[in-house]
Amino acid sequence: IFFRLRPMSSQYLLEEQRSALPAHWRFAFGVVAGAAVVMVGCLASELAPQATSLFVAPAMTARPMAVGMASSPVWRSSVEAAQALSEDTVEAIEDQAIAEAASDDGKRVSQKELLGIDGQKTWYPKAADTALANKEWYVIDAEGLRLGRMATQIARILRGKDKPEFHPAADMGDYVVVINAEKVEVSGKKHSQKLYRRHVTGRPGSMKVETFDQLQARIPERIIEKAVKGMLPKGPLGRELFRHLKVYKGPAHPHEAQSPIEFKFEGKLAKAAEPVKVGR
Amino acid sequence: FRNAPAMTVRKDKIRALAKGFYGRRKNVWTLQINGVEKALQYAYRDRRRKKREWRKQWIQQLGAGVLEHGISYSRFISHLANLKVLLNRKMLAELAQTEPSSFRCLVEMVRDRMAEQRKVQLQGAIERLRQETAVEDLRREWNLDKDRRKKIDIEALLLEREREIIQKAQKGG
Repeated sequence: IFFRLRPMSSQYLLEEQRSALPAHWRFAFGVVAGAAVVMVGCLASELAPQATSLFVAPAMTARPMAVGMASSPVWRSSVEAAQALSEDTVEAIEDQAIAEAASDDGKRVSQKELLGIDGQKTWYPKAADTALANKEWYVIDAEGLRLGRMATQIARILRGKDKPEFHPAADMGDYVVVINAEKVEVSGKKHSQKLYRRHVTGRPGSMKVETFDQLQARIPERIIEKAVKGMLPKGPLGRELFRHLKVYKGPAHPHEAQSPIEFKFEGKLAKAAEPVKVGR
Repeated sequence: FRNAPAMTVRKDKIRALAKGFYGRRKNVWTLQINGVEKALQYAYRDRRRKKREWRKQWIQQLGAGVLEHGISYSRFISHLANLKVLLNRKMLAELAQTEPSSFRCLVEMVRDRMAEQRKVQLQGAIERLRQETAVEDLRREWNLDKDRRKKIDIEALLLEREREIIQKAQKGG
């Protein structure tokens, strides 16, 4: 919520603050209203802590966090468990903990026995963590999005950079399906000036050059694929990550069985969705 | 061959280190010694690099974990330092992975602090706006000179005004 509201006028201020302002100040509250929104949020969290603690988290992120967290490793279910506890049970647990501490006989239960995680060993993703079952599927509608800005986000998702379980040597990323590939935009005169070169036979003299427009007319998927491929790491892992990108022309894609989540370019990523100044 | 026993001992040590090398580099002496020497140099260098690499990884993981809550890593770390939370990046990254509710508590601490800072900034901004618009108001009200570059001392003017009002009241009374 805090990131999507655009500070425009004093309507986001509280009553007491608004009455303190003279009328002609209200036009000047550009940057300042953004701060006021946060103040409102903090006051709201004071008044209704339970509500905000449950709802602030999903609204904060650019992608639906609740679903992403649900598919994360097993021990993440402790969040839901913690939130589901009522005040009485929390008090009961606290009382029990105090009683246990009072009657402590010095025996220590190691974290390994208790949780199954060895806290002294550095965690490295195993096959179970990189398994297909743990991966999310996202669908991105490329219509009107700017090529490079969209591609950086795609590469980020594919690599798994948006997860705290990220590891550079492991495939912790998710799958991305891109639709409406032929409708992706570039700014300026790139439609006629951006060149795609390829060497057909490998021998000198066989280089073919196409403009962005020509390639978009011929094989539009290749434009997005090339953009993202250049942003992924080069090597066997990078090649594997690239295989998790599926680009399609038009609005249909054959991955409905994976029920991909729509990824919206909002909040901090909104620049990718801004209308483009095109000077062909 | 001179001193074959000693040579064999030394060569055996190096041969053992060359296990797992590619192709002839694991079998052939001249290639073994080249490979092993380089490997030991890399090991020396990378024992120092290891510390940097781990820190990089923790920061990347922390950055991702914190971004899920809507804050950037840089803000998070700086506010955490101001709050005198001494947890290092290794522990924070582990918390982000395995203890999401505790990590969320840290994030909320930081967010509260950010809100406090913004309150202070907001008040400062209001003060500055008040000053500027007060000056504009006075200029318009009292038809002062149109030269905006001339700074007006508000307090002096107000004092003068008050004095005038008091004098008028006294005269009237």
